[in-house]
Amino acid sequence: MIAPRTPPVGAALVVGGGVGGIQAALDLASAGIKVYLAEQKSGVGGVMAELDKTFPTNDCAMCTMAPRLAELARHKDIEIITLADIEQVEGSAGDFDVTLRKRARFVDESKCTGCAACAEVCPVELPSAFDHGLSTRRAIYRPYPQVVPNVFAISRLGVSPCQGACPIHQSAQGYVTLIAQGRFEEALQVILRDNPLPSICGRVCTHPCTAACTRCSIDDAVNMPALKRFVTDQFPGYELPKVTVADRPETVGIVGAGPAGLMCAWQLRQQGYRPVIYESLPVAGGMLAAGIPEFRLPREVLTAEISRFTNAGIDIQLNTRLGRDVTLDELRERHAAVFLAIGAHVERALGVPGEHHAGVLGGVEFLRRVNLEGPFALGKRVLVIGGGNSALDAARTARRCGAEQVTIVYRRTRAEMPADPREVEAAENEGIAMEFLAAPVRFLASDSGQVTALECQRMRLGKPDASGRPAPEPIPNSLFPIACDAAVYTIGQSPDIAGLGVVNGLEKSGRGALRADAATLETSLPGVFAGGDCVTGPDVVVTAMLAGKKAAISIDRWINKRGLREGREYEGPFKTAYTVDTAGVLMKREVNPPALEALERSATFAEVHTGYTEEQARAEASRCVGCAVCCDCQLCASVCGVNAIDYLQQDTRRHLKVGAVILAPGFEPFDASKKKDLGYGRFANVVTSVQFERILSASGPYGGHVARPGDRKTPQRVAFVQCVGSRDHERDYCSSVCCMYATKEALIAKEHLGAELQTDIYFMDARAFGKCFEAYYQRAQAQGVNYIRSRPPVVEEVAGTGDLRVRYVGDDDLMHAREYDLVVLSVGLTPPASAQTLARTFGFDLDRFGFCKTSRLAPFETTREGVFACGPFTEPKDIPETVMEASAAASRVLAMLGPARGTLIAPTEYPPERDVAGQPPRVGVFVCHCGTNIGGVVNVPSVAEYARTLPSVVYAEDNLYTCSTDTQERIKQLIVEQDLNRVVVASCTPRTHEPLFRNTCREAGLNPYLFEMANIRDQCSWVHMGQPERATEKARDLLRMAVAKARLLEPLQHGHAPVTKAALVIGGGLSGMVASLDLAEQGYEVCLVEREKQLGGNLRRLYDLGTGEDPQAALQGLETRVLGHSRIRVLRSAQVLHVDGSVGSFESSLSPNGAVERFRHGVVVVATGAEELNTSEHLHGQDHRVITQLELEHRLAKSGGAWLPPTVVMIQCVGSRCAERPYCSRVCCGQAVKNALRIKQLSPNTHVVVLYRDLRTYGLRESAYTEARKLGVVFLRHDDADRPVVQGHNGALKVTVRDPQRAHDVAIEAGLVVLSVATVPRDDNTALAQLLKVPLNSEGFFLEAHMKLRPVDFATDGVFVAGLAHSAKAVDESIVQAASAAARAAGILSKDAIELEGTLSQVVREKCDGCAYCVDTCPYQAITLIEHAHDGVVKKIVEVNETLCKGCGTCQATCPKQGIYVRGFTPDQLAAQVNAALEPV
Amino acid sequence: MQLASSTPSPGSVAGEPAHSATHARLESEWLDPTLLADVRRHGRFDAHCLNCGGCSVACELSDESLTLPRRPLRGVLLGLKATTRASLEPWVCHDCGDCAIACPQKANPAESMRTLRRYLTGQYDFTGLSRRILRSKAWHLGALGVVFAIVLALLVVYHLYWAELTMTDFVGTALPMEHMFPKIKYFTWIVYGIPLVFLTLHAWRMQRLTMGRLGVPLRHYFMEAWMIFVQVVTQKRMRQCPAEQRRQRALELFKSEGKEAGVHLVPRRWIKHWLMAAGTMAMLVITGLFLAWFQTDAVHAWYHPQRLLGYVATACILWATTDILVRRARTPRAERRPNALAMPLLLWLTAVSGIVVHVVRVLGLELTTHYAYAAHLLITVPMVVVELPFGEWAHMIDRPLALYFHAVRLRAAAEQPSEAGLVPVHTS
Repeated sequence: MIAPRTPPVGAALVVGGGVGGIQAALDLASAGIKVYLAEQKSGVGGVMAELDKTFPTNDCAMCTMAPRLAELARHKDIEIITLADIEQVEGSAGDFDVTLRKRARFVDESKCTGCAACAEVCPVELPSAFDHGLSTRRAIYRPYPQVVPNVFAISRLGVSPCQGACPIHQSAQGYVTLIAQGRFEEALQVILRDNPLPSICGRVCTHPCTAACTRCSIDDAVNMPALKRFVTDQFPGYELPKVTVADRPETVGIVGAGPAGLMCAWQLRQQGYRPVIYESLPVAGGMLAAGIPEFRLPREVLTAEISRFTNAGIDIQLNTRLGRDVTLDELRERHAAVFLAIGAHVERALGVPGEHHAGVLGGVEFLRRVNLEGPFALGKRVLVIGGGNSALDAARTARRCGAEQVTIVYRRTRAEMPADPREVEAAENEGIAMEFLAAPVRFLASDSGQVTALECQRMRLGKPDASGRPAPEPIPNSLFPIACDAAVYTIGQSPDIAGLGVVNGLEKSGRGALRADAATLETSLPGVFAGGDCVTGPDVVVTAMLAGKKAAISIDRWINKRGLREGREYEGPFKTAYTVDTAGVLMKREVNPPALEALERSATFAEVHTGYTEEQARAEASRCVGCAVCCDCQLCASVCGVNAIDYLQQDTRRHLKVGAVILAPGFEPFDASKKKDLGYGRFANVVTSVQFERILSASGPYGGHVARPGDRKTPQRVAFVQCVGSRDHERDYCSSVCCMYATKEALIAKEHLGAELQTDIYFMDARAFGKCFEAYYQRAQAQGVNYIRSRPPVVEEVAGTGDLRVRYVGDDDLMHAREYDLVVLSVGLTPPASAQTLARTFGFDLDRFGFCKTSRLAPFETTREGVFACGPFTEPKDIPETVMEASAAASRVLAMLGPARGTLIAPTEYPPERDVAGQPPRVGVFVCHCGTNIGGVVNVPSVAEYARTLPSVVYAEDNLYTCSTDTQERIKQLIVEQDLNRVVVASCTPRTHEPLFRNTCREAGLNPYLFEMANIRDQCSWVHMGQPERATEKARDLLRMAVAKARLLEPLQHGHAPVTKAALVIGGGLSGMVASLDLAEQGYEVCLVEREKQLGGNLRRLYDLGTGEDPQAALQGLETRVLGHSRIRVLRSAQVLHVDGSVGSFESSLSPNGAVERFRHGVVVVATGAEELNTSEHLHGQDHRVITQLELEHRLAKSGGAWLPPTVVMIQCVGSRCAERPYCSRVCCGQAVKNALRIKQLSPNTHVVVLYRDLRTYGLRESAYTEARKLGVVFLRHDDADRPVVQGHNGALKVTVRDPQRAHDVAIEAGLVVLSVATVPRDDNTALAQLLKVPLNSEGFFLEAHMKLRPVDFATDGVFVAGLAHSAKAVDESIVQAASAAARAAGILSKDAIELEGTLSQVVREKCDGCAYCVDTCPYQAITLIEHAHDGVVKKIVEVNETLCKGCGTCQATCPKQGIYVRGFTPDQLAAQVNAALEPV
Repeated sequence: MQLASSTPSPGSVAGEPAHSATHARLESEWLDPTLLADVRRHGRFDAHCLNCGGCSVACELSDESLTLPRRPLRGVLLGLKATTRASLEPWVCHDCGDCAIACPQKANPAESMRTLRRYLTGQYDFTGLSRRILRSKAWHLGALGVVFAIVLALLVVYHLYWAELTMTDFVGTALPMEHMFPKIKYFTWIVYGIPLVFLTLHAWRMQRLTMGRLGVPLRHYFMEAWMIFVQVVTQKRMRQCPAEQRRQRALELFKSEGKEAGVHLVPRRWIKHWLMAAGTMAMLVITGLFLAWFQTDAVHAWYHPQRLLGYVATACILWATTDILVRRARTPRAERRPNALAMPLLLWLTAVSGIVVHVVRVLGLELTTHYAYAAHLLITVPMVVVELPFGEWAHMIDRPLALYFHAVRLRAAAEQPSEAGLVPVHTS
């Protein structure tokens, strides 16, 4: 313990939200420490939440855990920080500075109500980590429905490569994902969100997205253009999304109806502006109309697209040319802003002699004339000069205009052509010839001036030029002519800015284009913006659209007088900041978009591509690998009723000041695919135990129907292979839980599939060492679970069946093979993935396996002061041990931070409670839609409507989410406004939401018990999904019942029971001393009662822990501290005679040295220990050479090894695991191994033979077992039935035992026989149990409240158990349990008074006649019969001890006279409810 | 591989024969706790076996009649000395190393089996020399040294007192060939006679230890006698040892997991071993039985069968021993078993010195031939006298005999299940 320096910080950090973390957080917070619970995942619950059942009680894991989760969720002093990684830790014990990073959730935790509507629409399916890959979850998810916090999170990596590459950042992954699922309409909406020209872009956009597609590195890019086109083809009549904002008065003038202008107009229109587009041509579309030939973009598609703009309220004025029909000044006057997007429609001159000859024309001109005026013949032989897309368009158009021979002349080679290679190929198919490495020199003409030939210079490729392509160099003397009738040159376009007039002060750039700011598109004239080809020179459609988008943003800012420049970097371009792992993605080539036959199409202007069929489109879309996980379709945001989705959320950093840290990061199940021979990952029907746990679970992937993953067949033969990832060379430890969970899974599987299910468990030692585990193991055997003692190294698949073959060498030492439908690998526990990072960040040590290093005497302390660890992070262990360690760590933290307790927790202030007594009921009803959970089935508004007709209801309404923060505020307001004095909410389950609504009432000044809830979700909409009308009817019934009861509700007050801040610890052994010290150090008075003359108990007999630590020194240290502690009173040779009272105020009679003394205390810790069985088996007590392990330990410690005979035989399980004591004594195997090692150390030549049934060196104790074997200690197993026999033999001892593998007896001549005798409960446990009103189990040990989650509590509040009194356990485990008991006790002692529930039993004095029926039925022994004088006669009546009562109502049900009832459930109230149910409607 | 019944029946059913056919049932056996330590003196024997049976599943030679290697190893670990000495399984194992790969504890059962075989060889030898030689380097080298000294002395004595040569004859003159081969016949027979006697006793004792208590009728021994011949000539059992390909795969798997390989791959090891054994055997037969024909002063033409046979045998020995030497020398010292290099080195030297003798003789260098032959004898004789009956070479007889006895046991068990505690073989 640290010495107090400056006052410590009254807060603690708990890392990890599994059962351990939850327990530690609750223990700390309930004792007044502010807790931050940091969890790496999006919700807490850990592995226990994944479990189906728990052994040995077969309780449902989630049912056990859910109340704990709910308690955690609503604890005001616990702040849960999810998605948190610890980054840095500074400071020292008592005052740590912890920096943690909270990863973005993309969902606002304060808004999300957990309604799950978002997950329903999310198109992205991922393997569910919760179901260990057996089912899928959506990209927006919560791991399981009961998760805390009950909010969703999005798996979102950021911008996908395709989206990042797209200039306008279309959610390409979004629409592709939706297309793959056949959700075409939603896909179109996603496309239209960013792109108002999809049917055009789907045809002519160059799609930079495809070049960035991750699939390029596998096979081909996903054909996003064809998919986009496919979607628009499905809905020819679609319109642009409705403008949702009000119209604004400002208009904007846009010059040019090309893609830039249109985009700008649409963006502005969406903001409510009224844009006016001025177009010089008689058609809108700019280059789309004039430059792109019809066979690529049919006119009707273009026209339809343009009409969508006009339908959306965009005015397009055709034939209006700037500079001719309207001037810029006029526009500036007319409009709030002007955007110039006039494009680049002037073909650049070729600059060779003869280009003015007849028959030589520019590509732009040629295409415009064909597009606007219709096809005309150029001649038979046409040359097209250039290598870009325009050249191809021109060539293919010329072909369709009747030219017989079209040749493209290009000065480089095909590889350097800037045109799309697919287009080049298409042109070639249409019969277009290519003349590469030819540069035009001059045109030759006939006398008539008609061009006749083009003279070209032959070129060759030289060094790369600025564009990176090899520069063509002329070959001298290589001129050659190409004959032609016409020639079209397409070498580039420039804007026609001459027509604008440089007047008005518009600046030009050097390249003959307009000058505009790159980021804001401002020109030199205020309010005039320019973009698109007229600024950049000729470029592709989507770049122009980007300009339009940017211009719209600038114009909006300009009009609203906001800064044009800041934050523009958020518009992109976006980089993909992650790498996509494509390992394992299968090759699947692109689905080629269907096209017309080359010959057929080259004669007409019909569209070349005919578009995907639905099947093709889905096949193509399903090729997407989903790089960014979340596809950014934003459908979740569109359905979220509370606007909780926030795609812009960023990772944040938090600094916490805490006094101490408890690490509970849990464990990682062993990755079974590392054991390749066992077939996991190769064979579908080999699953891990965690997967099988999910398969068994009703909430699992198959809905609780046990099936195998390969073909969903119901298995009839299941094998469990134990020790997968445990007890091997690399992991020389036992995972402690696998034997039991495999047993449990086998039993549960039998429960599901019938007793005839064959379940074989392949194991080496059945490690059923825990409390009641052995009986469970025996039960499993009795129920037909077959245990095969072997460790099969190989699992093979039986070809063609999916069945599996396991080969093994059995106990008969013969080879066998058996076939199974399903093989379950019982995977071990490995250190959590975060172990290394945590160790580095916090600066503590890990052991050789990577677990947190601790010691036997301080099992939950790391090597760094003030940092504690619990659970499987320190050693593989089960839930109860984890829970105990968590509490134990909490106990140490409480002692450490004692002075600061309560300093950082804020008491909640409530307004004074309104007195509603005597007022007529005024009921307010709130009916919840729960998104679509209820609203999708039940007609919620009609239910609310119906509520208004009910008596006393003065107000009723329906809410989308009654539990959302704003609705809570609204309810509070309405309580005041409408003067409501009863509140009814019809929504989900009271289990999770009643505390919330009660709190709302309280905050509005209403007694919280004036609230009633009707569960119209779990009990109505969910179970009657298919019958909406009848469900609505039932919802009305439920509501009517709730209102009927609500009318009779009365305010209830919480009672308070005072707490005496002192503890009685019974038993002065190790556990008792540790518990006393922990409590005393936390500041409470302790009375420690020991019946012997000295403290120490069984610890006095231990001399070696196998770890080098000295238990006797530890004992002395403890004893000194206990005896010297000012707050501990030690009573030796004393007994507890009597215990009165209940939690908070016990009073006991103690008898130190015969005297009787009274002691008042708030809690009791039972630590009475246990003892070694006194046996006469195996000649013990008859032959001095037969001793027990404890006696051996004593002699080894006192006399060394010189006295040891040549051979020592140890016999295990003496008195344990037998009919009389059907339990395992847990410690003996470890003790035998430890003593064997000690013997080998003291006397290396002494032979040690250990005769055992199952060697149970669980956890890290396994290494000692390995060490002993290495040193030659002989471990000889025998069958349960074949007990060893010890006889005298020629003066020595002869031990005979049957070797099951050879089926013959083995005889050993022993000089010493050591018996590992059972640990047995003390005889006087029964008496003490009666005094304390706590139960014992059938074995005579004290029985805790719950074997998994409440291992130190009793069902009786205020009484705790620790150490051997609970069950056999080792030194470290006793320390843990004792400290744990101290923490649990401190939870009570830290309070001045215990707040009792309002809903407790109430005796009706007038009606109770003292028949005492209720006394015996009360499960909490809270009712006693008392006598009192009444009118001169002695009358009997019962009395309720409110600190014991839990309000279960058993008494009320028993009482024949209505003489006792539970407040809040009075007979009147219940009757009203029943009557309301039966009432005819 | 054949497997026991695959119908669903629990691993061990009461009433069913719970152990294999080939093991004698011993009603009660005293456990000898010193056994493990004793075996360990013959080499490495890891004791941290978890008795999981994985090694035996991995072993291709395990079948329903015997389980390798767990059963014999387990016997040692428990201290069942009589059982261990009676076991034949270690000789059925041909050291492929699959079990070492399969062992989850990395307890290297393959190495333990090697150690166990050395132990057993020592047990079969009644003189106790074998035990000492196999366990101790000093004894091994000492024994070789003593024989070396005796041979050297004999050579000197022979030349000085029998052939009555003077020192000057040794140093200067050309010695005629007749001093050599014709006269060495009896010496050679004596040299071969010594191991023969000891090996016979060795075999007899092996039979007593392994078969003695079973009381198998003599006819079964006759019926299976051909087995010795088959095993010696074909080394059939070794060929049944797992295919190299499969082992290669396993090894790659092993390496891919970042583990050091526990075994050394020997491609086509059966061929190599067969060639070496055949070469050695041929040499022994030629030099022992056909001495006159082989060791003669006449230099035949190179194609003469006498010469060709010698060449082939020598080549086999040389190639195989070189390979083994290189392989063993590469093994880290810590992992090498004791005196691992002695045997192949001696054999290699024998071959090399034999070649030298042959070459110088063909070249007609008479004096050199004398010296070379003396050197050859100094190497060969200690090898034959020490290694053959007392050293690693004893496996030449142990293995075929063990397989023979095993076959005899199987036959006896099949015919008379009730007799001598033998149980019927599970036929499939």
